[in-house]
Amino acid sequence: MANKIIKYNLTAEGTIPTYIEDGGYYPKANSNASPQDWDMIGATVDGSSETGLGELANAAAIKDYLDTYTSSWTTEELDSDGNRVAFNQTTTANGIWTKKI
Amino acid sequence: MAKYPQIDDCQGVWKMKEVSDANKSGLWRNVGTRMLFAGGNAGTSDVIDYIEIGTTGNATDFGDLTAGGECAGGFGSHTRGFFLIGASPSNAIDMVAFSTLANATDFGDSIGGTFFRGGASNSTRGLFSGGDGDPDINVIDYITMSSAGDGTDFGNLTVARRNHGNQPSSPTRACFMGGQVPASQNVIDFVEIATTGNATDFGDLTAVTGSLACTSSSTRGVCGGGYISAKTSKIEFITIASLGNANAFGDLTAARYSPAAGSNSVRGVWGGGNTVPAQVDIIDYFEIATGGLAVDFGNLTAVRNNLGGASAGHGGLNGGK
Repeated sequence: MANKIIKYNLTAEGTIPTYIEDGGYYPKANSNASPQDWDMIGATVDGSSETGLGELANAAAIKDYLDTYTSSWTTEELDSDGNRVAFNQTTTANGIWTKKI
Repeated sequence: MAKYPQIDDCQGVWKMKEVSDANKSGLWRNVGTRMLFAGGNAGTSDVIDYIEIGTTGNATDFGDLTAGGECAGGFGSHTRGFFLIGASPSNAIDMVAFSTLANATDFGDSIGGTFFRGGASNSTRGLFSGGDGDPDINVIDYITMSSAGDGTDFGNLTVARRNHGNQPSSPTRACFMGGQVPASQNVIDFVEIATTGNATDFGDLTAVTGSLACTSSSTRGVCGGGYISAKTSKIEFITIASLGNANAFGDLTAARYSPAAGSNSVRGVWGGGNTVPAQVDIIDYFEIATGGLAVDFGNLTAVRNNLGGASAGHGGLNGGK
């Protein structure tokens, strides 16, 4: 059994590609026209060789990719000073990597 | 059954027997006028209160949830309202009968142990969507509202996300507007309620918006409030049958995020929310056919945000079946 964690777009019809088993994670805006205007992260179906816009080969690669566009993201949680807590790229990358089989 | 007049579309010719049958079975469109607001307040509230959408005035106590919950994303059938409960990841579904003031009872469990989900329904199926997690949840699951039981997998959202609250539906289609990942999103997805499968892209909101709340007539979906880079009062609409982007439609009386919304297919109602830094008890409304500036309706029995909404006459129920 093997799948891949990849970056991908929706199809031109706006549907989830058939090679994606579990996706839609952490969209990054691109310059394409809608509905292909977001690059998303997802796990392919078992046995697929599809790499979409590129494979993310390990949790570190996912974190590095997230770092390129999520540095300003915050969660709804508030810290002790009442400020929003920063998005944790490492925790998130590890969570996505659990979808690798 | 042939189409007969809807509360938001009274044109056409119909058979008196069909009207009679609809009345006898409790499906006539004027039946559903009650809206419930449930839970909220960081999961500490078990309050359920209600309004009659066709009037104005303050909400009245209805009963209690089985436990405090951040119930964002409830939905209703003609007779029952449903809410996910739990202040932390939880899969418990509570149910109430709109017609009877009473406490909620356990209905079953949804698939995902999560919260901050979306919710939409027609007269038979209720759908929960997305939710909070690391990463956020893409799952849509559904329940058959007439039969107590657990959720069944429906498919996936195109974008995994949370904080999209009440969502619009027609009798055949549910849409999922906005949300957060945690960055706010402009995505609008849709599914055909009767047919399980993954969601498909519908169009875009005018701006990325999370923590919004939506409702509908049978033809028009409307979203209000939310969080862009700050709280917002904006109202937008989509035409549910036609894919496309949302359009600006008006403003709530106060900018806020995480309210609940519902409708009687003519009037859309928004209650509660957070105006930053305070949770509020505001209820306001506007006409779904015309939009514009919302009008004060009254107050909830308690201030709260991240509450759930369920209405007995929304657009998903307005199909004559």
